Amino acid sequence: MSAGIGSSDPPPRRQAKAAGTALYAADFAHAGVAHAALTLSAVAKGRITSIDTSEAEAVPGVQLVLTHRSFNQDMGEETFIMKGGHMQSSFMPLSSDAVHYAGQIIGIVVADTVEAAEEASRKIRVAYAPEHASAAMDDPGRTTETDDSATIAKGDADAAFAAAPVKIDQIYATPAQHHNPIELYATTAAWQTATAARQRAEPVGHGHAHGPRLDLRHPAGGRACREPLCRRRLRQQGDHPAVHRADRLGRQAARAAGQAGGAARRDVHGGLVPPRHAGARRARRGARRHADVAHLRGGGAEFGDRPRRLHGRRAIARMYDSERCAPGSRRSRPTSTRPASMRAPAEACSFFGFESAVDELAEALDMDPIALRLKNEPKVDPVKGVPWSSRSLVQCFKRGAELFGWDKRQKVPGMTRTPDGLLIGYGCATATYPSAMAPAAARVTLSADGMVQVSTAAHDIGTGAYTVLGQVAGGILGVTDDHDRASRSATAPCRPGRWPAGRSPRGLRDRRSTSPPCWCASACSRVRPPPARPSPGSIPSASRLPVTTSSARTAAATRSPRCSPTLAAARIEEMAEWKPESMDLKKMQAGLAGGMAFNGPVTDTHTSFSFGAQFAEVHIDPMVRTIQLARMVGVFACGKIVNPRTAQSNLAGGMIWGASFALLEESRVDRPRAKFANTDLAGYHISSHADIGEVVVETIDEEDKLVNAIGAKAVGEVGIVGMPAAIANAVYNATGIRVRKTPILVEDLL
Amino acid sequence: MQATPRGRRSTYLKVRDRQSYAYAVVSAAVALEMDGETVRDARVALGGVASKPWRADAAAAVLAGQTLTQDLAERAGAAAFAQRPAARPERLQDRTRPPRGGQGHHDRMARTSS
Repeated sequence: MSAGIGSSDPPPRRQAKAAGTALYAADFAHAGVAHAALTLSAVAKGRITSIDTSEAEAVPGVQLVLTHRSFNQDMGEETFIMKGGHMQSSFMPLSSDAVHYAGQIIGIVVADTVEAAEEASRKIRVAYAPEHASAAMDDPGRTTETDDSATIAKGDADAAFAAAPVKIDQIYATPAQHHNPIELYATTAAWQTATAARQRAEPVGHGHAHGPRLDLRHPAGGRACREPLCRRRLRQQGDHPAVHRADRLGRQAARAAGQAGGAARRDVHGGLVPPRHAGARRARRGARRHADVAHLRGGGAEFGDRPRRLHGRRAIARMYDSERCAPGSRRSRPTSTRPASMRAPAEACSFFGFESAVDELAEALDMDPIALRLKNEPKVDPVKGVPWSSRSLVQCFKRGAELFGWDKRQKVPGMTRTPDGLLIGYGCATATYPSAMAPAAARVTLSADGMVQVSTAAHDIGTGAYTVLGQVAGGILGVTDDHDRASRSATAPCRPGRWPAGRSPRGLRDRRSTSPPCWCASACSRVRPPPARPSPGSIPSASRLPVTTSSARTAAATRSPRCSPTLAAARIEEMAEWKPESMDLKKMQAGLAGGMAFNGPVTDTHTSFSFGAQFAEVHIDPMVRTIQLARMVGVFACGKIVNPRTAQSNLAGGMIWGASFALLEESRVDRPRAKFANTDLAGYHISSHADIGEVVVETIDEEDKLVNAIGAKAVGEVGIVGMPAAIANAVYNATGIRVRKTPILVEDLL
Repeated sequence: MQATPRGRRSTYLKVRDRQSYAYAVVSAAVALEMDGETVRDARVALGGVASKPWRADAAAAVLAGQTLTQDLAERAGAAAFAQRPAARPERLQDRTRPPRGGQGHHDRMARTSS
C-alpha cells in the first residue's frame, strides 16, 4: 500500500513512457473515423480575397472542405481561456476572411484517410490582400502601450534611484520561444448519446481522461462527447492553448461532417502554436554601499498582444526587501502573432534580467551575491505587509551553497581553470513561483469489492497527478494504487468542466496543482472507515467494509470473507468540493464550472510563493568560447512535498529547461514574412543529453499551515525561474563578460 | 583520392552551439606537412562560412614555412577571415534580428518606452 503523502511512490506506466510505448492522444484507435487536415495562412496579415476549394474537393476520399465561407459569423465567439484575448488570439478561426498571423487556420479538409485530407488541404487555392505585418518586438510599425493596471509601487522610486550611490541600470533581453513537443497536437471527437456519455468507462491515459467535454448537437440528434484527449508529455506542452484550439477544430470538423468521428492533427509549431513572448526588460537597482537594496525599478518593453500581464512584477517586487520600488511595464504590440504561455510565463523571462542585475549589483557593492540576497531577505511580504505562508529562501541558499561548494568561488572573474585549461565560472540566482489556489472537486467511491475509485475533472500532463492523487487516497484509505485496474473500470467523470476543475494537477507540478490533493484528501477522509464507530442498521457503512486490509494489490484486498452478500452490491460514494478559505461560493462555482477562479498568491492574510536557490558551474573554452554546463544545483522550499520522487524529477526537468533557456532556445523571426523561421527541433535547439552535466536537486522540509490543507506549494515551474540568470552569472564569473540576453552563444563571448 | 603527405597531421575542429545534433557555427579542417617544428605546407578548409567547405588559402600561406606556434595559428585564423569569402552568408540569426547591435536596439527601445 501507499505510504501516503511524503512517500516516493513511482509513477504508473513509467516504463511505457521511457520505452516510448505509452499512447499519444491520436494513438487511440476508433472505428469509422474521418480525418481532418488543416490549411494554414501563407501570409501574416491581410484578407483572403478568394479561396478556391474545387481542386481540393476533387481529391478522392474528400468528404468536406471547410473555409470561412462555410461558417463565417456562425462560429460565434471564442470561448474558454481565449475569450477576450486572454491568451493566444481572441477570435474564432474560420470566422471571417481576416488573417491575423502567419499560420492561422484558414481551411479544414475532412476525408476518409489522413493522406487524402493532407493532399486536399494543400490544394485549396487562396489569394490574399496582404497587409504590413511585424512579428518581432523591434520591428517598425509596432505600437507601444503602458500597462498601468495593478501597479505595484512603494515610495518615490525614481528619487531613491537618483540618490542611490550604487546603481545598476541595464536592459536584459529574452527572445520568443516555442514549445516543440514530440507529440503532435490532435483532437479526436466522437459522437455518443447523452446516456452513453455519462456511463461510459473511459480509459485512463496520460492526459485529459476527464478533460473538457462538449455541448455540441449532432446534426442527427444526440450529443457530442469528446474522447479523452490522452496525452503524454515529453517536454513542455501540457495545457497549452493550442490544445484547446485543436479541440475546437476537431469539433468543428466533426460537427460539420456529422460523422462518426473527426480528427485534426498537424505539425503546427511556430504558426498555430503561439510562442513565449520576447521581452526586453530594463532593470534598475540602487543600493547604499554595504547596505540594503534601496530600491528597484523594473519594466521595459514587452512583446505581447494580450491583456494578461506577464511581466513578473508581482514576484520581482516581493523578492527582496526594498524601501521603495516601482516595477513598471510597457508592452510593445507587434501587428502579427500572439504570444501565449510557456511555463513560468512571467517569472522565467523577468528573473533572467532581475537576478542578473542582483549579481551586477553585488559586484558593484563588492559583496558576495548570496550575502547581498540574504541581507535583503524580507520578513513579510514587502509590498502588502502580510506574512509569508512560508518562506525558506535563506535555508535554500545555505544548503545550496554547501551542496554546490560556493566557498570555492573566486570573486574575480577568470581566475580558475579545469585541469584541461577551461575557464571555470560559478553563478547563482533566486527562483520563485506563486502558489495560487483554485477550487476543485473529487468523488471517491468505495465498492463492496474493496475497489476505491477517485474521480476528478482534471488532466495529467504526464508529470505525476495520477501518482500523487493515488498516494493521497491510498495513504488515507489504506489501499494500493492499482493504475491498470483503475484504467479499466473508470466511472463517470466528476464535475466535467470546460476548464478541468482544479486545472492541472500535475503531481503538484504547479501552483494550480496544489488544489486537487486537498479535495482528494477531503473526500477520502469522508469515506475512510471511522475506526471505532459501530455501524447500525443495514445501510452499508464504511466501517464494515474490508478496505482497511492492507494488501499488495487493491484487487487482492477485495473479497474478504467478512464481506456479506448484501454488502457486495453496495457502494459508498462521497463527493468533496474544496475551495480556498477566503474564496466566496460564487467564485468557487464559477471555477468548478471551468472559469478562472484563483485565490492568491497574495491574500488578505498571507502571501504564498515557492522559493529556490539555484547554482551553476560552467566551463568555457578560453579560445573557442564554447560553454559547457558542468553542474547545476537547486535547493527548493515548496511546502510539503507530496511525492519526493516526482517533485524532484519536476524540479530537475525545470532546471534543464532553464539551461536550454540560457544557452539555446530562441525562435527567430523571419522579418519580411513576419513569421518564425525555426519551427522544428532541428532548427530550435534544446539541450541534448551531452549538454547537461550533473544535476543535483534537494527540497527543504518546509511546514506551511496557511497555503492549503496539505501545506503543499508550487513545484512545477519554480525550477526554471532562476536557472537562466544563474548560468549567465556563472558565465560572467568565468569570463568577465556580462551577457544581458539569452541565449548566450559563442559569439557573445568573443 | 590521392594520398598526400599533408594528410598525415590533420585535425578537424567543430564549434557548435550544443554538443550534439547541431550544425557548425564555424568549423576548420587543417592538414599540415611538418618538417620538425616548421610547417612545410598547409591546407585549411572552413565550414559554416559559405554554402560549401571553403578553402582558406590565405591562412595556409601564413602557416607555410613558419615555426608552428599559438601566435602563428591565430594569425592564420585572422588571415582566413581577412580574405572574407564573397559568398559568406551570415548566420540565420544575423539576418533575422539585429546582429550583436541587437542588444543596443532593444536597449534603445526599452529606454524610450520605460
